[in-house]
Amino acid sequence: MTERGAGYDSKSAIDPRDIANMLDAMKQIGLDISVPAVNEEARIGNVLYANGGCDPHDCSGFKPGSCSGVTCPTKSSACPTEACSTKVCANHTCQSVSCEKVSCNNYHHWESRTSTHGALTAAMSSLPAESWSQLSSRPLSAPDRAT
Amino acid sequence: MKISAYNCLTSSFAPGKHLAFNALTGAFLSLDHERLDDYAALLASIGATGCPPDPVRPFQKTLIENGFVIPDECDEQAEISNRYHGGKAASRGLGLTIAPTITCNFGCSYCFQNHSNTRMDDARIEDLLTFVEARLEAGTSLNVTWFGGEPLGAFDVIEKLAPRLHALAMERDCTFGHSIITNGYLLTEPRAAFLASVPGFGDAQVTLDGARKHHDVRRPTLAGKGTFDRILDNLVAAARHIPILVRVNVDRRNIDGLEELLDALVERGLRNVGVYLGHVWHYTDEVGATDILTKEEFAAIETQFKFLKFRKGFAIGAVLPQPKRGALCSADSSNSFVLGPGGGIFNCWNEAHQDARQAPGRYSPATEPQPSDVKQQWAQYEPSAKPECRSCHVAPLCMTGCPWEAAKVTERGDCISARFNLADQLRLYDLEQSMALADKAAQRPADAAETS
Repeated sequence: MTERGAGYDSKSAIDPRDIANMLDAMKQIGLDISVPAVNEEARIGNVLYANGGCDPHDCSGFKPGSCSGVTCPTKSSACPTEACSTKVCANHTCQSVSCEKVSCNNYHHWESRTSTHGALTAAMSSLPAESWSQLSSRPLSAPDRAT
Repeated sequence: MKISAYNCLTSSFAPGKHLAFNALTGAFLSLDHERLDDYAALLASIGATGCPPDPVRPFQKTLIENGFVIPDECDEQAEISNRYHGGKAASRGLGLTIAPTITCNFGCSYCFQNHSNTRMDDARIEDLLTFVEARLEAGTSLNVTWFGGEPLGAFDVIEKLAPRLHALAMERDCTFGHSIITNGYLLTEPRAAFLASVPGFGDAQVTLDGARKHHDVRRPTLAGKGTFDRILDNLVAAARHIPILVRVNVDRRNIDGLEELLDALVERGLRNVGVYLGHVWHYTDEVGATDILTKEEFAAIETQFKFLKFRKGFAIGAVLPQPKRGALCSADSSNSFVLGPGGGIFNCWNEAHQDARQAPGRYSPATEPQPSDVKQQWAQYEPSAKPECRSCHVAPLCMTGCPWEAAKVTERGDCISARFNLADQLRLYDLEQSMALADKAAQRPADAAETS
């Protein structure tokens, strides 16, 4: 029911064969990504950059208390006025959020390739090139494996 | 209560795991089967009765707190508009795109500019500094993008301006940041070292259009000579001093060279540079390319390229899509300006190559009109006015996208990739975060051993 409900999106542009290859490689190195967890630091970091700006070397300018234009991540801002929201920012100023949680290395992933990713890359590269699909502008219609 | 119009629920790459995202709040949650059942039950209950189930389970409470379900009186459309106008009004920092010259040493097939030999002279440099002195508010920020033409074709202008702009920002207790968009041909190691020496340098965005065979045809020198190898050599040297961001402009003709480009970067030890795709598009009449991808096709290629990067050991660079707030770009921002070499103030990068006499303003303080007049064109811009955008599931993320392009169409804005590939963006983000979490988990036993 949920999957047919509002907002469910099963489309993907990535060939299911490529995903299967990746999951096989994960098994080889004993990696399980099915754990339903979110890296909270990264999530907060994203929310802090409410304007969508993301300069890795601007982080030094973001200190507790100097977060002008920053959205408190605990605020549900679905409402035009705070009065109609059950979770407002009243007790969550920028100071309490602490901009220092934004780590350039965490946020700018190309500067922080993980060792797990390195091991996975090695496992994936052991597969022959022909086993991976080529880039193409095909429509986003590949079936969703998980449904 | 009612269901938010901006929910996205999708499967992750991992079997049995789902991802929920709300485009208005930016909330991102991962769901196992139990949480998925909670999500379904909450939405079903709201749909049927307008009320959450009784009792409300903890994860359902989280969903409500994160805006997946909202009070009836919440007007999400109004919130988007409020964010746009409120963010614009609150913005204080000064953003400058400075073109030291409009001249370019390349003859790219799809260039959106019409190059002239205009170059910033010493009098214009002083005018520009006077303009900044008059506009920079103490305790805010000054961000500069060096642009062109080819900005390194007038490197002496950057050498003169960058330290003085930094000093001015420091005097005013402002943060300072600068970055450069260059074709990379003139990005020698000493120049990279100079850029790094001025505090606040972000990155150099350099374009490589895929494999050498494609790049050299698409981005030759004015004399028709290939440029791929020299740029790659420069990147290796420059990367010792500054972060590099490689942009790959794609259309139908160079998709098949993307993997080769990544292999070339790995071969030269450049796996740690950022690489992203740009969409060759008819921004101006000057653009000559004809094999342009549609927005949906580009979104598909972009997704596949991110996965390819991941497979090749590059970081995906996947970021969680973020709700927008305030101005969309320099054009509709009241305190961002594009400053041409001849004294003209423009709103959009697409106009930087125009003659100063065509500019809506000038930065010479003695010349009218004043900068506030320059911004009149976009002052009344209203992102919620486009009919198709009002029902779009990613409207809070884009707010019509590029205003320059959105102004060409009545019904809709300039659609962003997320309209077509949001689910894939969430999956890729989750994938990269899973790598980070796996690393953390691996570190924990070592940490525990150290503390015991």
